[in-house]
Amino acid sequence: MKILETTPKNTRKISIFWIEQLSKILRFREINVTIAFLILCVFFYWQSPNAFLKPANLAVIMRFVTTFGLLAIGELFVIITGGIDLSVGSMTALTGVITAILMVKGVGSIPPLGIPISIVIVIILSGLVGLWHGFSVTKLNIPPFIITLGTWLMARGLAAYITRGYPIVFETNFPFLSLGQGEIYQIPIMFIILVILAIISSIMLNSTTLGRHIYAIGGNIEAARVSGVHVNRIRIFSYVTSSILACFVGIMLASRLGQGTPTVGTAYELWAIAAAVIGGTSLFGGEGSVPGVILGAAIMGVMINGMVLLNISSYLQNVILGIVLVVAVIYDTLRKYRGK
Amino acid sequence: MTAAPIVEMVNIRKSFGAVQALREVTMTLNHGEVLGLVGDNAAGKSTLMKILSGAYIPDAGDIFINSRKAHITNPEDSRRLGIEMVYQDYALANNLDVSANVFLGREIVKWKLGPIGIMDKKSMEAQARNLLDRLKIEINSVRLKVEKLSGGQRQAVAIGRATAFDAKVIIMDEPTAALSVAAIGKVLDLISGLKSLGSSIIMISHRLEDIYEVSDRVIVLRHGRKVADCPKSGDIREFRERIVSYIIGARDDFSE
Repeated sequence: MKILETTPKNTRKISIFWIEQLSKILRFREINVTIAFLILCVFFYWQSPNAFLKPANLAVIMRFVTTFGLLAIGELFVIITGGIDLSVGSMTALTGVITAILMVKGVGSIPPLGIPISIVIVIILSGLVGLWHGFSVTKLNIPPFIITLGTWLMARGLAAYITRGYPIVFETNFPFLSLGQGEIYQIPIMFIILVILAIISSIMLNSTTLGRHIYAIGGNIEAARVSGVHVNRIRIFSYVTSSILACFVGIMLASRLGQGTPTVGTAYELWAIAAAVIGGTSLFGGEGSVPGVILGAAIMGVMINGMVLLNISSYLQNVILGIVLVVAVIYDTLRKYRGK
Repeated sequence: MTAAPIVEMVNIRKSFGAVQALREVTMTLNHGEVLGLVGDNAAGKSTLMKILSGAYIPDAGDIFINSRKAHITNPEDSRRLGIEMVYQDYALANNLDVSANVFLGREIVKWKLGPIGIMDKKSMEAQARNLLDRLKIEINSVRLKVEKLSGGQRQAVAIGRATAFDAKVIIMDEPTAALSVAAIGKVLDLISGLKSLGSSIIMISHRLEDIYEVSDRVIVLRHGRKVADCPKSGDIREFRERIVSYIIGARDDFSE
């Protein structure tokens, strides 16, 4: 009897010990993501020293990081409050298409609008989509997964419907194209925009009452409510932020590609969520940071780029990225285990 | 001790549909007093306290705070009058640190730009530290996340949080229900400490030994009516027997 009782207890003790040791080493999440990122950079530089650090190649990585970094920041705002936004990929397509239509073709009898007016209009439209998400989640109590899945279908369908499936092409010298294609000192303008928006959103989450309340809602929504936090208003704000960031990406991709394409951004929402998770965001809410998700996007960007440079089959690339994602989630769980 | 009570609730009535939750309940709380509020489930204790904290609006009856008629229609009104409620399930955000929880919803702001305020984290941390020291709550750092604290420490933070903003009256709903024996002792010490610092406290509890230890007076509710309002007296055994007989309906001081 005694032996039967003690054996499983001991093994459990030992496994807890190892889990604790392992998670102690891995405690500082952002530091580890940074280290992982640097190791990857060194590795790919070592493997292909001529190509990896070339300005043109770095620009490719930076554009990738911009696209998924911005979408991931939007997801971060929503995920911290305990929600999810599946619409962002489709929203990039819809907003890109609308931008192109407003700038190139005009609507009905209205002639093409100027660049700034067109941009303001798409931003307002996507803000309304975000409002709709927030309203449905807070007032109608619809699960965010479902309401944003609806938009995921509708936005993609609408983008294809209003273009009849064809891209709307800008002329090659259209000034709007410098937004996505231009560079300053070999740094893509897109990337500079990402850095500015990342700094703003990081300050917002860390140093403002708004950011604190976003985290509080993710931690304990009832506690936030009885503490006088305007819970619904803040949740709506986070969905609006996500939609507007998706709109920024849509505008930049349209500029980058020189056309508004209804097929752009397919499955980008999933890549954005993956970047957020790799960067330490908890899908249960209450945890995650802007530097984290940018690093998550950067890890994905460097890996995809590096694997292309190393001539790794694109099928295998997906397998490897999937493994990275799963490892990140397991790591997250181990860290939680230690916290308990 | 001032003569006039700090809180008077007079002839409070409240119904939920056909159910009369409170029938003309009158309750007073004196300055610097710990009042125990007991009764069986659905006796109306929580309803009465939710009326005082602004979560419910009574159908009839008046509330006086320091002898002045008060109109409490929402939790903010009640808070403005210096009434704070500590909830049974701590009502803390576990992913935030102690200082963030103490100031949740009332962050100290350096400067404001429309609805967005930049927080003054340093003064919040310093004030949270002061608060813990004043109440003798043992927590190493106000930067510790609440999820790293024990149950007793969490309840202490929740109580400390309620007292942080000049609360005159603190309502505690089952503050010891979810705690270990050792933690209960600390929380009861904390309640006594608050009393000596001048707070007036209403404590709802099923644990009569806790009521006996800290309270000066006990009110018993039964089926929405007050059946007893008496100072604490006797030893714990007599006290318990007497209170239980009120709770189960064997005694009633206010029957018509």
